[in-house]
Amino acid sequence: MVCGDAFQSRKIKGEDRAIVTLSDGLGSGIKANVLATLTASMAVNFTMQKQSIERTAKIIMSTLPVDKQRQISYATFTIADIESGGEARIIEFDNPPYLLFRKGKRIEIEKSKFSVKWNGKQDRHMLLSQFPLELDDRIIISSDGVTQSGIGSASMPFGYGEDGLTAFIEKILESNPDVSANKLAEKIVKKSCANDVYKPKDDISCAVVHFRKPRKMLICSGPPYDDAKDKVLAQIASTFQGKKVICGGTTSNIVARELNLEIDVGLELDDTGLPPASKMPGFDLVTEGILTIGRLAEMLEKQSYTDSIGTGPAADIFKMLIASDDILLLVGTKINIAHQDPSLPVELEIRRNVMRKIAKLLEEKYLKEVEIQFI
Amino acid sequence: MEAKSVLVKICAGTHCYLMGGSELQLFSEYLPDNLKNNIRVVGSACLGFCDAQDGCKPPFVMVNDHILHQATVQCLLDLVKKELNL
Repeated sequence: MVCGDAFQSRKIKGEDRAIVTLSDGLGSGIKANVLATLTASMAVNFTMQKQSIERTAKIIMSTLPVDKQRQISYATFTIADIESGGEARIIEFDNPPYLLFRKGKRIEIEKSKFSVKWNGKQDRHMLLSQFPLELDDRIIISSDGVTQSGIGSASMPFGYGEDGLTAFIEKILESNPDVSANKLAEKIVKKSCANDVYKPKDDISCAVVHFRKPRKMLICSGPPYDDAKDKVLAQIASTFQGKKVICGGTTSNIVARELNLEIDVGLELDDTGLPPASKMPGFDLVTEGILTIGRLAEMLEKQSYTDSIGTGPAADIFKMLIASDDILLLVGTKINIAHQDPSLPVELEIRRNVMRKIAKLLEEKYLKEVEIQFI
Repeated sequence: MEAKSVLVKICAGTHCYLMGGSELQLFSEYLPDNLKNNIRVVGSACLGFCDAQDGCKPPFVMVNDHILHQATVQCLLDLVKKELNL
């Protein structure tokens, strides 16, 4: 399936910056998708390398193929370059303006205009905003599929428009000030789709950036290589501030023994085929080890933010991960000899490899800050 | 005389689960009504028997102080009945 809008985001490790771009390609079908994807990728990569906006824009314009009928090469874009300190820089070219919400209300930022010569013929105008973000600010970037949704209908003959969208978002923020970025984006897309009576006339995309304090999460999996480190594992697990999950029977036994806690092992099977989760005071979730993290890795690889992911232990960890930002994976490297039994009906992976894969996916696909510690 | 009670601990570790333990987790559903009150079925994190290289194979279940290896619903039921002197 292809879409004429392309969204890309990248977090740059070590620089504490996140870059978000949304591009809408001219026309429809594969051509629009190629234009949009090309534009979004170039925008991300050039911005990452701190190229000037003018140069980025020029290169994008001269790279895109020229449309035969209209004699233009064209894809709109919005690039947001956000530092974790709060400095934001947003460049817009022909997309609907981004919306900034502070304390639940939309506020306007003064934009400076600059133009880029293209093909020696015409000037292309772009807008640049540069401003410091405040805690809990939200930036909403959407394609024209959102603002023009509902066009021609009796209730909104000129489409949803910026005003309609602003009122919708303000209403959501009033009733639910803590709404997550992905939930808000999902609501906006669904509303736009409803404006078009569920038959969208254009690609509808929306990206939401929520500037907030990072949420922390810990996953402990696997017994330490050296028994003497059991205490270290328990110490980290007990003092960690944030969501805490243990994946592994032996691991949970160690933590329970060291911290003198009781584990209440569940026996309720569900349709996921995974061993059931257990309960331990002070921990948000205690699950089986290798099968559950294997399923989790599979989910992280295949799913996207908005897919429904169902229930079960792996889905529960997935949901917690999505809602967290700073994730610590504490991986015990002792090999479980019993897992090498050739009569096992499935092949069990080596834990540290699965955890490495999870770390990579969380960093690259979900833009999480991940630290992996082997013990 | 007070009826004897039996504690059944089913290992929910990965190895046991894969080797047939998943079915044992539903053990309480197989219990006849007249025995249900005397038997408590609980799950357990890995009991550690799979590491002992003594030839015993999973799934493991503990019935009071007895260890049952290669447990099936039927042999578990038999052992439980034996414990209850039935």
